[in-house]
Amino acid sequence: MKEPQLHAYSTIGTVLATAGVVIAVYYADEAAGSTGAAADPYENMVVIDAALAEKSTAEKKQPQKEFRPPPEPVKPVGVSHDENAKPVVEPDKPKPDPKVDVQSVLDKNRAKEEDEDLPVGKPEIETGRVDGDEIGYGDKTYGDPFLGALKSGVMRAWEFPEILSDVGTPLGCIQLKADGTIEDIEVKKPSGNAELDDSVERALTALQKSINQEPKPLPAKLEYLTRMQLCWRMKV
Amino acid sequence: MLAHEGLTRRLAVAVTVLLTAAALAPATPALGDDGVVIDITGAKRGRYPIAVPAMPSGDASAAEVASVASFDLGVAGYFKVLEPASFLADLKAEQLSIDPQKWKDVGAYGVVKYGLTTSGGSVTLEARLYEVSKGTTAVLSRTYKGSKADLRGFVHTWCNEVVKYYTGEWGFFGSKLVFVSKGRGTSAIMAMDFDGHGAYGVSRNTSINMLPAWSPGGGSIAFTSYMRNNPDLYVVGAGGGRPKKIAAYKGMNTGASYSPDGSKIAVTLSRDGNPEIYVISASDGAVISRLTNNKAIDTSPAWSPDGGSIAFVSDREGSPQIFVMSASGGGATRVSFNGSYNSTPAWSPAKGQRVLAYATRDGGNFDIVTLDLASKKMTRITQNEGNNEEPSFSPNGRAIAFAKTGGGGAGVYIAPADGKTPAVRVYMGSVTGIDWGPAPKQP
Repeated sequence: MKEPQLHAYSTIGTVLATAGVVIAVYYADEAAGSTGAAADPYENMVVIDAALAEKSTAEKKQPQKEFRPPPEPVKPVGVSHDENAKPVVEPDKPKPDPKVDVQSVLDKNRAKEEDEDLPVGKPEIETGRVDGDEIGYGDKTYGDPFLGALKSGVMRAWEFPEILSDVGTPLGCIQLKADGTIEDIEVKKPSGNAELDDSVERALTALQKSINQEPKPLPAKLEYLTRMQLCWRMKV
Repeated sequence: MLAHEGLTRRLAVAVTVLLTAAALAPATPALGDDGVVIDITGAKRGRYPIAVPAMPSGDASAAEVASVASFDLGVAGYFKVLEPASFLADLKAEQLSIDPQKWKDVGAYGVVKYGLTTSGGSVTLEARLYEVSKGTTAVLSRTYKGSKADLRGFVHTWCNEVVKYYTGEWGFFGSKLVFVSKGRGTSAIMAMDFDGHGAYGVSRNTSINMLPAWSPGGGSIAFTSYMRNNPDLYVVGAGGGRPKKIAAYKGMNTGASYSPDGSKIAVTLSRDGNPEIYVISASDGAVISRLTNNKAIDTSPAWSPDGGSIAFVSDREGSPQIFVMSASGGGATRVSFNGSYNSTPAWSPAKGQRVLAYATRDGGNFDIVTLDLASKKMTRITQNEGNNEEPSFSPNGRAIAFAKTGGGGAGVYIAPADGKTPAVRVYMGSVTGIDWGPAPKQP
């Protein structure tokens, strides 16, 4: 289905849904109104004591600071302004007992479960946003590493001479296979700027050549990309 | 009444929620016919890759055509001329046409093709420019006819056409440089094509000659000479000949720089004892105005392309630095703050820019830098490769010529003004006082 059609259907759906809600709300209110014609319109109002609404006649006063006596000066510990006074010597802290059983400390910190088979190293990354371009672990940087690598590959390969007009945003697409190779490339929606479209085609060709030399299998969670194209809307 | 208001409010809320949802819907990634769509921005911008293959005939003239064109486009500041060894196309089969895929495979965006026929002393040069993305139809096509001696000129003109096709401005190919060639006890004024071809002597005396400057139209050259035992200012035709003495005031008469209209010359005179900047008449040397009045040494004036400013060198703040003042004098402002010694300023003729090039001593050697007076951005053109001095911009401001001494090859060099690719030597020898002449006339 083309994008304009999707928009058209979306707009029609929105209008119909809006109309439905308007009608439903209207009739609901009408129904409520018809059954309660004689009802007190102030039935649900909260009654307050009129005295509470009366304006206070007490004269406003400027807030006053509370008087507090100045704090007693605290003489710093271990420092004396008396040159003849002896410095305060704190007693030595007790040294740890050298007879501590090291094995018991290690046992205490040992894992309670067998975990040798658990994966080590970097934590496994959940699939993030499909447009993630960095491999990271923070909320702001995480993204899918497979897609991120593809995007980086496109960016590395995409060159466009500076003397040419950069007007236009072509849509370049690739078709991935389960083994991670790029089966096909195409400039799906040319911008009309022949040089720019050409530069996108060159970049995708270079990406295909590079990826297909050393493909990495498509992760299971991205398996859907074997059934649809992965496209980049490329703006200089 | 109140019930009605409540209904209206709830309807408004419901409509707002639905419309907001509808407005936000297209912002989510599209998963329709286009599959997963991701926006990316930021292609690498660089020089335009262009192929200039030699003609398959193997003729010396044909080889010269490709050589001149490769050099011109290589120093233009816009193109990256591809290495011929990488070409995959069958040049004999292609002749004046191209097989676009073959050129795309080697990374070319543009391809220049030539056809040369000679008959006796005359030549016919057919030139074609192809954009690979546009297929087998040439986007620019020219034919030049003349004598063999005109061949280099034809290629320069063609390359200017190519630059104009891409940028809208005429290139600087075919323009000339004037400089001082230093010998034992003498120094002669010489001129040559910008690519070092056809160097010839302008001055014909055995004295010391220095600091030549083109007139705006390119018809004459002003220079200082000791031929009558005082550094006086002379003007001579661009082809050489008998020089005319313009200014012979007591002391030095040096560092001429023409006003854009050619009617006046800014020059350093020491007739009052201290070197100061003056404006004199270009026709008879009469003093029109004195622009500086300072105990320090003021020298090396350079008239801006818009005629409103003059850059010069002064040591009024200690070390020699670049200053800019009004062309009518006054308002001198220091603009160079890098290095311990800055000299020989030159203005870029590029339209809409106020950019100076000058030599700066940063450490032991002099290097060429450019300074954008508006943004204060400084660009280094040379670095730690001998002494590089006396820069001069090409007529379109895209390249800079300068003199180099030491560091692996003295001579005249030209480099792109953006500093992105290395300088190339166009004349070998001990030189100084470079000045780049005006743009060649368009046919």
